[in-house]
Amino acid sequence: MLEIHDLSVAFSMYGSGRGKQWTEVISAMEVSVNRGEVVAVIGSSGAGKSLLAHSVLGILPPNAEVGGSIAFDGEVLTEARKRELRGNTMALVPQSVGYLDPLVRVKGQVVRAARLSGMTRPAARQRQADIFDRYGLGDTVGEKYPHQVSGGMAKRVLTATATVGEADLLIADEPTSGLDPEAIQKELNHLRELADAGKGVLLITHDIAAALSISDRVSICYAGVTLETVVAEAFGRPDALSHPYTRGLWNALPQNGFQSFHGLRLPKKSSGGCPFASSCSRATRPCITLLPPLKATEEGEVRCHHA
Amino acid sequence: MLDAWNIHYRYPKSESEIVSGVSLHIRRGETVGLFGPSGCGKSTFARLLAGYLHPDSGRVTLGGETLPQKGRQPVQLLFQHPELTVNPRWRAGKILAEGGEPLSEILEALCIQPSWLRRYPHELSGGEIQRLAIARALHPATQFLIADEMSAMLDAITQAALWHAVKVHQRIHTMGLVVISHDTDLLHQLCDRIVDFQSGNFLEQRGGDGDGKLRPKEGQAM
Amino acid sequence: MVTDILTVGVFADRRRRAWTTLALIGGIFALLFIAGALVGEEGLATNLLARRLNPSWDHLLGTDMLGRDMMTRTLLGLRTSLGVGVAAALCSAVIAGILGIVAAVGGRRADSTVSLAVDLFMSMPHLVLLILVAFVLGGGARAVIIAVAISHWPRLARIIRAEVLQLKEAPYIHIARKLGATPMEIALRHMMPHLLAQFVVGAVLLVPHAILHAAALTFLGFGLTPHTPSIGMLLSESMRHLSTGYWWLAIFPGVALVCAVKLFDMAGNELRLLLSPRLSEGR
Repeated sequence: MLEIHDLSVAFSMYGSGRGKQWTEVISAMEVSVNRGEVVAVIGSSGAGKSLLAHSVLGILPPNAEVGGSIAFDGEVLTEARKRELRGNTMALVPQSVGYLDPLVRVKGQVVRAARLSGMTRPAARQRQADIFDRYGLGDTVGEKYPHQVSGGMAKRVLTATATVGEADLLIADEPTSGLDPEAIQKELNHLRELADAGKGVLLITHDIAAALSISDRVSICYAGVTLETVVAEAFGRPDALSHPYTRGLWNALPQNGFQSFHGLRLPKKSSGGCPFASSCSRATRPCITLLPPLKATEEGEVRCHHA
Repeated sequence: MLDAWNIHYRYPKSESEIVSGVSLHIRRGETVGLFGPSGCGKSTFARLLAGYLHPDSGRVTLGGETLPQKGRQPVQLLFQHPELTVNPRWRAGKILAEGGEPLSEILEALCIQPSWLRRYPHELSGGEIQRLAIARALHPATQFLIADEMSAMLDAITQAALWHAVKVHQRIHTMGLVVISHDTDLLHQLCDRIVDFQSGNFLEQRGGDGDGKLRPKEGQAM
Repeated sequence: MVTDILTVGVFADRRRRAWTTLALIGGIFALLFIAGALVGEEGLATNLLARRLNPSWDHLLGTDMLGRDMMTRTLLGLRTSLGVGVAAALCSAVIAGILGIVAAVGGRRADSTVSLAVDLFMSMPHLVLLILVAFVLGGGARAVIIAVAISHWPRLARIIRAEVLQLKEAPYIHIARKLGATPMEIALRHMMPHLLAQFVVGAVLLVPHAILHAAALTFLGFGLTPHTPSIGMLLSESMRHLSTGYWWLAIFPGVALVCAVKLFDMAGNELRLLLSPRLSEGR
């Protein structure tokens, strides 16, 4: 359904006194999501991952330059097509209540989301009531303003704004941040239900454990570059993970040994090679100068000269 | 010893107490985990322990005395959202220096590279700013460090790296550590004992003989 | 973090534009002062043979009812008006800064007192207050400056007070205390740079108001005397002659005033852009 190929997003930034500079925040990103599956994009908290969501939906700021291609149902997404699809066929579950209008009650915002996806007013109201029911949000919650709603409820409201329009593709941006384990599980289960009902879910997060509990496939991203994509089950088997960064992430989890990755340096982006090269024990000359292409493996794909 | 004696606290505009009668005793060199759902008062308690808030009743003492009013506090607190803890107009180097001259071992352990000491916070990622915040707090004079969901926003590798650096510093300087987190696996890795903040029960305690085995204990005062 | 990039990104080229605009505006005012110095005082002398002449190559802006060269009078008048306006704005800004800080850090009583004063001054009709003070002080440049200063400080004071109150609660300020910083160190190293930015922008944006109100006072007869030309005086004198068709007596000084005010306003906005913190506060 959604195919992102070699995506790059660069910004012209003001760098302290030096005038305009172009900074590439995402480069060579490769993600695909089919109907009925949950695909997680995992990377460290930073600007890259939200930008992925924004570039699919076409809501990047004007000074951003996008390269590569994004296709939906086989059709390349132009900015115009993105405008047509967003809100009704593609929807975003945003990161925080800060994305809601602080002056409008929560119920009204969900109704508006439904209306924007093309429903009539009575249908929208009905749908909002159904959705609130489904997510266990009572009438009292609907009457509140965004700042009055507690963390877990807020996430459910945000999910409601995205799902009320019957979108086929849902992009969830860090849905678990700031929640405690119970709320995280509930939220993740909602997303899994949506996928099981035939929608495609793109889950963007830094929390691997959360992602693995519901995902079909996982895409590991480092410094804005997709390094590896594997099926979620691969994470249980030690040799199934090809890229050293992926292995490093897995081993660093507290439940897996809490291993510190020796020699992790900050990524070097300017040289054009693999961004992980400066930290990698297997790095050789080609790693520094040439960005490895994606190679198919048993479990998925990997971007490494040594895989 | 850092001690909290029967602390009660209520936020000025609130009707109910968020911290009711909590006591906690931590030795230097020990690691205690605090666990509990959001809103149960863990963060408030952390602020009370570090002297950011004053209890309505009860006391917080360090070595038997009340916390000092002036000067560098021996009890330091680390926050979940590092961007808010630094002055956006200051460069990274200046932010670091506010905590005193940082030790080079700490900078190395936290992978803080000299090249980005000239950058402003908006040019650094959350993980990088959190490294600065930790380096700023870690100092031989810091006797107790309270980490309130310090690594919740960070990826697994950064989380492991930062905690290892903190643990090394703890061993060298016999620093007491209070870890507040939702992540029970993380707490198991880091803590000598874990306390369920709401009920006051111990969840786990490592054996005193250091065999690393975890035994559940219940119903004791914290 | 995304929002941070968004704010910085949009300003990418904007910052260079801001500097250029500021430089241009500075250049214009510099030229103005130089021109005023060059043009000399002869044009001010009355020349009854050359009364009410249309704009021509000899007199680019014409002459007035006493034969004085309008170009000279406008240039010198603009200089005077600007001088008075800037002086008044500066005084006002200083008062606002002091009172704003006192209100924010001085405790409940100080805050209530200052806020009361702010409400009081803001509720009085502006022009009435100005005229009252200028009249009581007997007119002249000093009276105008004092009158404008007294009536313009409340708005900036409120802004400064709000900024300081907000800064006081910032987590990094609390952390600074815990790291051993004294209140003086916090005030100077953390708060002052931020406040200075607000203060400078606020002061520059006060100048247009000050200039206009000073001109208004002079126009109404409570301000500067006819001896030194000022825009307000020029406008006042030209009123009588408008209906008889001597348009250049009012239009040129009026346009000059509007342009000067607009330039200061633009400068203030560009300054605000350049000095604003780049980090979006909170999440």
